[in-house]
Amino acid sequence: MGILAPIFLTALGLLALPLWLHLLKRHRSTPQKFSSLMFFERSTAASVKQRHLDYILLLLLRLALLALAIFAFSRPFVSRALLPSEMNGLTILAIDESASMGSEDKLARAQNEAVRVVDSLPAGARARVMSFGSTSHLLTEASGDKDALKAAIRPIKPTPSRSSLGDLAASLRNLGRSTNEPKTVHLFSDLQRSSMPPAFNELRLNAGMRLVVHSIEGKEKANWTIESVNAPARLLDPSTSRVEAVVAGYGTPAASRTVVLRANGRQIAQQTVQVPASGKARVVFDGGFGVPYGFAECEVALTESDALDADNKFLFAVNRADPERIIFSGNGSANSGYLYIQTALASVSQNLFRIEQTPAGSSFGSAAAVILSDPGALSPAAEESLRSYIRGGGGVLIAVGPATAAAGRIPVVGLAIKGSRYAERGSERFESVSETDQTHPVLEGAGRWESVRFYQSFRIDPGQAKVIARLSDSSPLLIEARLGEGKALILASPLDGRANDLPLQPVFLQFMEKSLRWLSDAGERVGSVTVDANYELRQSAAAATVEVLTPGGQRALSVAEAAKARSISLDQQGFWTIRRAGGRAEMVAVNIDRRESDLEAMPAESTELWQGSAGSNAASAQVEQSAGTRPLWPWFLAFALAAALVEVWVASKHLRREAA
Amino acid sequence: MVQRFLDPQILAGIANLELTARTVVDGFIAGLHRSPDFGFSQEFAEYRQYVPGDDLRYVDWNVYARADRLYLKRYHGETNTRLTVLLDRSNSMGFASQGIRKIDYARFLAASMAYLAHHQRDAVGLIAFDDEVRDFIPPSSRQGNWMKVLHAIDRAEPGNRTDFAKPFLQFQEVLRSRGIVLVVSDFYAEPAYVVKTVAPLRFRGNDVILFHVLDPMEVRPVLNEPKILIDLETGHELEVSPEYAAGPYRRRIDSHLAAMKSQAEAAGLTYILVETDKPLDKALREYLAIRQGRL
Repeated sequence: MGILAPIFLTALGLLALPLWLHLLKRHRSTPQKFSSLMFFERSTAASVKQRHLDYILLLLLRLALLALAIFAFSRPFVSRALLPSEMNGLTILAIDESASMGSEDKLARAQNEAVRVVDSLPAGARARVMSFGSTSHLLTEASGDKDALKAAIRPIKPTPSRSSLGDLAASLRNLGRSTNEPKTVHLFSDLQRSSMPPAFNELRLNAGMRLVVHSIEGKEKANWTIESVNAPARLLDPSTSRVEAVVAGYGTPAASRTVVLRANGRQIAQQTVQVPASGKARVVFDGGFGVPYGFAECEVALTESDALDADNKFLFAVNRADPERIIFSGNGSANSGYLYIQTALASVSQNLFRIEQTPAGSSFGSAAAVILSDPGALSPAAEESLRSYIRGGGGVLIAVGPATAAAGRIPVVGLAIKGSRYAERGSERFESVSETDQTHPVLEGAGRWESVRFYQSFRIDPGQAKVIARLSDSSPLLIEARLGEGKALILASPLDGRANDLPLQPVFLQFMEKSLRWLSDAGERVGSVTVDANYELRQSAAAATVEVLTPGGQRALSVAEAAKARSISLDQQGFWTIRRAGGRAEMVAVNIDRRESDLEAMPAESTELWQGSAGSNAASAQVEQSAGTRPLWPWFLAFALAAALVEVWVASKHLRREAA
Repeated sequence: MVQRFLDPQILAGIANLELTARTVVDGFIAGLHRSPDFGFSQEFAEYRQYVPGDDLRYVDWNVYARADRLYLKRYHGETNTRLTVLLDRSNSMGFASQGIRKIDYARFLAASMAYLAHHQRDAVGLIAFDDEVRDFIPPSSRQGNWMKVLHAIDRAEPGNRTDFAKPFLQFQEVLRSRGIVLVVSDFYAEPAYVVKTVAPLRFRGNDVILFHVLDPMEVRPVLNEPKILIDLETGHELEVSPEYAAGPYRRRIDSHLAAMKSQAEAAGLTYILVETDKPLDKALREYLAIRQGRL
């Protein structure tokens, strides 16, 4: 047994404190008058002794509590015999598999270096192999079988993910907590500067963990990339489409680059752009983007090769389609809302939506969204048809009017209408919007809603639905309701231009565009994301099955996952296809993270600092762990806690006795 | 039954000191009716032959008629004496461990003695003292004097430190005629000093009785825990352990009491130790025995 911090033992002097306190406490004598002290002499020592015996247990407990706490701080340990396999601790081989390791022969060199380290391990030494990009993967258990370790190293391939040294350090810290044996981490990486976490502290490793960095640097650092592409996810008019791309250079001299635009493998346009040294240049492809109807796999690519080819093309998906079909259904005077909506859509998003007026109860199957203007009480068949349309991912905007209020409930979503409120125009008695949820897509960047006057509104019980706007009397004005995969937006006032002046206000244009985009998902579709992005598959677990195809055409989800998974991590570069119920399909292009494009390594000082800090942690624990010691302080602390609990119990007993 | 009226705890509940004294003495006397040794009042004592100068009022003329000789008929009650009570009213007499203070006990004792003496037509006087003579009632057998004595006893409250030397010097000046002197005190002084101070009273023909009044706690102290004892007279404080009170203190107080008794008796003084939890009859018996001896 030994002690790592003997300086704390000086605190044992504090043991005198409870002794002194006990003596002082016992010394307390009650005064009493006596006729004469003629025959008395001072005699306290015997008194203290006698009283002290009564509290000897309490004193012993307090002494034990203090002594145990002091010993715990002095970090005692016991030596134990090490197993042969533990003599050298555990070696962890962490190999970077991020996209940048695919440049030149970096990964092959890293693998060779790792194999060399495996070969140099002494007999009986154990090691684990792990690869890391944005996440870490343990490829083997701790093993002394060198062949098995090498077999785990060889198959590692570069992935499109970015490397994150912060996540690697967190994984190593977790790994370090699993066992107390000393660990040596061999890191094989190109140590990109962009892989560094924002705070250096996130790179810290556990005590007893030694870091050996094997820097795998490429010969060529200059790298150009298509940093971003701005293209419409939905292509309505190919003749006016426009694609913008940004070419960026990292560590590059000024040079001209040839950029091509391809769609479904066919080159559509080509441009040459002058990129300044380590700078950026913009490329614009105007004048037509001829792709057939449906999804097109497009890319903007650099024709010249450089240090990292994986980032030389930027993928994006384009959906060539006709304008979204919006069905308007209204009754009686409510039909006047149709003209307001048609005019509004024509002015803000030409060609994006095509609005059709149909009677209630017609088929909504192919509609992107449905507008019900004061629908009243729908027939059960019509309501069920509409409900199945929403469950399949459709969107409905319902403007509540007198007919609906007379029915007492809003069709499809079933929210109850508790009454209506009327205000006269002449006396300026109206309600205005007092509260809006600016984070909601429908109201995001909403204009002057407060200037809209509502003369008639209906009080709706929102139940579990989400209220995103309220009137000045706190009654809900806009309510979002979810049903299956679809969604509904309820406006608690008609769109006839009489119950309110919303159709006459500028905010009406934004409201209609944003709400229809949201309801039809037209605004939520994206053409491209980066690798490892999470893509939302469904809002609720009860939604229909979703099929996801990888860029290679494989099913990414099992049958169970396809029925339940809320989201999926897109971990491969390429075009992913998502097929939903009702024949709805989406295509998402996945690109490698552009932070991988910067091949500049982290400063050597940072590398040394990282190794040094890990080394100092290791040194502090070296005595304790390299000798095969087992720390005793947790036991001492546990016993101190037990002593404290018993002390409280005994002391309370004494107090009760004294009080009695 | 009547003995319980001699219990100091019961007497402490009687506000009137005269009534207390009467209760004590009457109760005591009622308990003596079968005793052959003691008597009082006009009890016949003896015949004595007339000698010239005797008061002719006491001649028994019936005997003279039968025997033709002059004899005087003597009664106990006719032998009067002077009783002077010296009452210590120092601060230490204010101590009480349970119920009754030493000064209260001493007052009951003094009042009872005075009443008994007054009842036998003895002259009764009182001197209350601490380090000075605080009250002095000269001995007299008149009814008014008896009331003065009672009042003086009643107002005797602990006041100051004890100092035997100064008051006893004054007593020697006052107590010129012989009689009985009762000294009621806790005698917190060296026995030799007490005896040396008190003994001169005896030289003047007085019978001196020392009533050593102590609380039981002073004789057999019991402490459950260490205590800081505060001297009632000096105000000094001293921490005392239970072990000391049970051991060394008892040996010292026993030694002190033994020295008091032996040295007092050696000096011809009657020494009686009374504890405040004991009935008063022991003291009364002692007093009557001594008075009997004076007849």
